[in-house]
Amino acid sequence: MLSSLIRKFKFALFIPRKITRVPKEPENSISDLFPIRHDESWKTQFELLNVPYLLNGQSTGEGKELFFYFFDIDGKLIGMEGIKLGQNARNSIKVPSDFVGYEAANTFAIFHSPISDQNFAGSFLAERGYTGYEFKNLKIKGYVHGNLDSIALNQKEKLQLLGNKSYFKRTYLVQHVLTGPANYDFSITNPTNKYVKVKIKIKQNKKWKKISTYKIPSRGIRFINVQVSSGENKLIKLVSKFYLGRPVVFRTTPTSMDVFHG
Amino acid sequence: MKAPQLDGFLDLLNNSPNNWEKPFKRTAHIYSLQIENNKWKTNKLFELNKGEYRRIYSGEFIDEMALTNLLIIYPSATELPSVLESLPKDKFWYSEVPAWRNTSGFINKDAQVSYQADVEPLPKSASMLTFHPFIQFTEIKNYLVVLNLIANPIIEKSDLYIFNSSDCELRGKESIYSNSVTTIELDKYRFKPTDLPVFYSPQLAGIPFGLGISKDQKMLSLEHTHPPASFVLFGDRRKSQAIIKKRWIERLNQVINA
Repeated sequence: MLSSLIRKFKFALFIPRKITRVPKEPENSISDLFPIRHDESWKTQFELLNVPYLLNGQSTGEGKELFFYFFDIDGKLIGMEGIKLGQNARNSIKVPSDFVGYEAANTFAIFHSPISDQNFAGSFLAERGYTGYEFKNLKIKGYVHGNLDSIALNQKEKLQLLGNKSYFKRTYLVQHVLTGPANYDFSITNPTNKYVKVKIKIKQNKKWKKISTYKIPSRGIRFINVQVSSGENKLIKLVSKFYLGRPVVFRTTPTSMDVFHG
Repeated sequence: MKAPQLDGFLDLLNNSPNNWEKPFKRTAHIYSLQIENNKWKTNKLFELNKGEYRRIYSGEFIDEMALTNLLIIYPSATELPSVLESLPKDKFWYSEVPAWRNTSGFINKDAQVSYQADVEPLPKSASMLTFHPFIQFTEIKNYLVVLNLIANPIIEKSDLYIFNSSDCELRGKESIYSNSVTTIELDKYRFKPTDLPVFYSPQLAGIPFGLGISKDQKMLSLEHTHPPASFVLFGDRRKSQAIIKKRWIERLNQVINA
């Protein structure tokens, strides 16, 4: 009984609001903020599906345009591009190279248009699909699905950030032991409408050490690099006001790549 | 989990993912659970003190995993009896925001692939519908890995139907098993890069993964595939998933029963 009360009190203190906001209007479409890796070492590809038709028991069909929104490292909107899906159930889109003028983009969101009168028990249509990352022209990609309910678009083309942040800082231990030899990149996006300060701590040889602090603007993204030598194990934790600041983890060795949610 | 040509690994870290939500501060008794004579046989592997980390490999449990390709690892705060009728219900490594997970995956001498593991037992009788949008097409072998875990210590066979989603063409039928990991070769079904395969099991739920192994075995790729509920957020997602599944299953059953 007492432990239950303590638990409820802690939740009221640390998670006083919902982790993500519900969009304001029922016709809103939701998307993750997907990280883009695009340089001499990395390529990004999104596996685009016809989500409105999938909800109706079909995988193809001509609907309204869907929109890619591109943001820079600080969350500034660079631009948007409309796509109309045809008869392919799966559409592999190279990001940003299948578009012109978005070389500076670091994240993207995808907003589908609901089919008229689609009603799904109060749920909102969402894009949380699969992004493939190719490292140094290795023969195959590593895939990771969207996991943050970050951003919504309403019928007036206005964006709404859905992430909440707390009043108190919280510690999140990334649930992965860093093993070497490997290079780790942790990508953290900010799905709230305010900047968030994130302190990064690394544990090695039983001691925690602060390595850096990042101030991430709304819709912004930061990549945190950690090198792990052969035989080493490290832990990483993030101290911030994020409710759920789970990073996407990229683990690379000279000949391999692994990507997953930490 | 174990897969052809690959060793499975599991990283066990006795450390809560957050600093405020009922952290587990005790020594954990790490057990393996396997089916023997229609019971869950428990085997205490080691103890893990708070903050300690240890990696285990499927290669350490060849005999235990021979039948199912699956070994259940259960961290317990207390000693377990040697035999259980059903999987234990107590959750000691547990938090909600975020859910407490451990890293698991596959590894060979050149590469490793990870996902955030920890599964709760699935209902004994439930259906599975999932789409796989990341089959790859260059110098790679593609597999679907289906993990099932139910509380009852039984291994039962069930059907998994494989369709092309655009025209609901039935491409094949495979067997999957309860309390097991089943690996299914996908390349023989000749999906194209513009196809979206759909997998349907009428009687056995599971956690499906897309696994890719480069033909030279130097690169791996692993991610789980989604249930239809992933296409929506908020509202009554259970109900919305039921609506979406019903629409698909009606179409797929027409083909199966034709």
